[in-house]
Amino acid sequence: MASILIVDDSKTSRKLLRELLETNGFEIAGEAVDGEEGYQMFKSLHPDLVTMDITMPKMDGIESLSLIRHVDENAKVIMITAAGQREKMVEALKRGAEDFLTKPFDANRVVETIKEVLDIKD
Amino acid sequence: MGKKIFIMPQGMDEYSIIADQAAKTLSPYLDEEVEVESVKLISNFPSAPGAWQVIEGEDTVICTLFEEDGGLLEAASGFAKEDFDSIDNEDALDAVGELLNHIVGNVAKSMSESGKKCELLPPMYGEVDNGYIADRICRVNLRSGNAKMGISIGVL
Repeated sequence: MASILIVDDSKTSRKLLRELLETNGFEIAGEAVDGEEGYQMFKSLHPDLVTMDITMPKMDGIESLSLIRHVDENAKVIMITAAGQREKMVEALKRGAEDFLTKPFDANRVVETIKEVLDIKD
Repeated sequence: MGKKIFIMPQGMDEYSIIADQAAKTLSPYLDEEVEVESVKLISNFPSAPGAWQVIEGEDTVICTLFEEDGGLLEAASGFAKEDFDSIDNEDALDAVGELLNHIVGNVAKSMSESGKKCELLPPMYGEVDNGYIADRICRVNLRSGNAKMGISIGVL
């Protein structure tokens, strides 16, 4: 099954997303606490997909997305954001994000979006 | 019994949405629906464990979500699906920070739909008496049954 790298500064968010994804059969390649760590882990782990929180300290998700896409133009990244970050979501899509998800997570939407991005058919 | 209506202090009407969103966001994680109990102007941010987050727009707004009487611990436990024994637990405070992020995110969405641009900084957690100073600070006391918590809204 597909491997996913979770990048989010919130331990709670990482936990909730990890549980949701594992319940639905996805493998968690790793977890990163900021954009810089996410970028480094992407290079070492080569996950099939990255879920990237937008608002993080040290390095935000937009910058991390850019770095990841620079080393791998085929990298699949889904941005995660609280509501109300429309401009950042648009910026992320322009920089190559595949799609975005908003918090709190809608379990069905999360799974459907990931399957669509990874072209996984039921 | 009908829902209690609250009135924001003069000059802070537009921030009633923060109180509304706080009640709406927190309710699913507590036994009873969260309601606004009272609202008042205060001089300083309350000194209590919780989280804070900055909204940068036409005004800079600092929102804090803080513990009063067990409400925040219950909400954090419900949200994170863990049985935290203390709000001072770092994992519990992380959950509080994320709850505040959801509250503020919905506020930002509403502001954006009204044509007001704003940017959110990452939430922080700890003692919410964090050294911030604001021109106006409003304290909103929230209640879910016997559990209480609060949100403060500081405008620079």
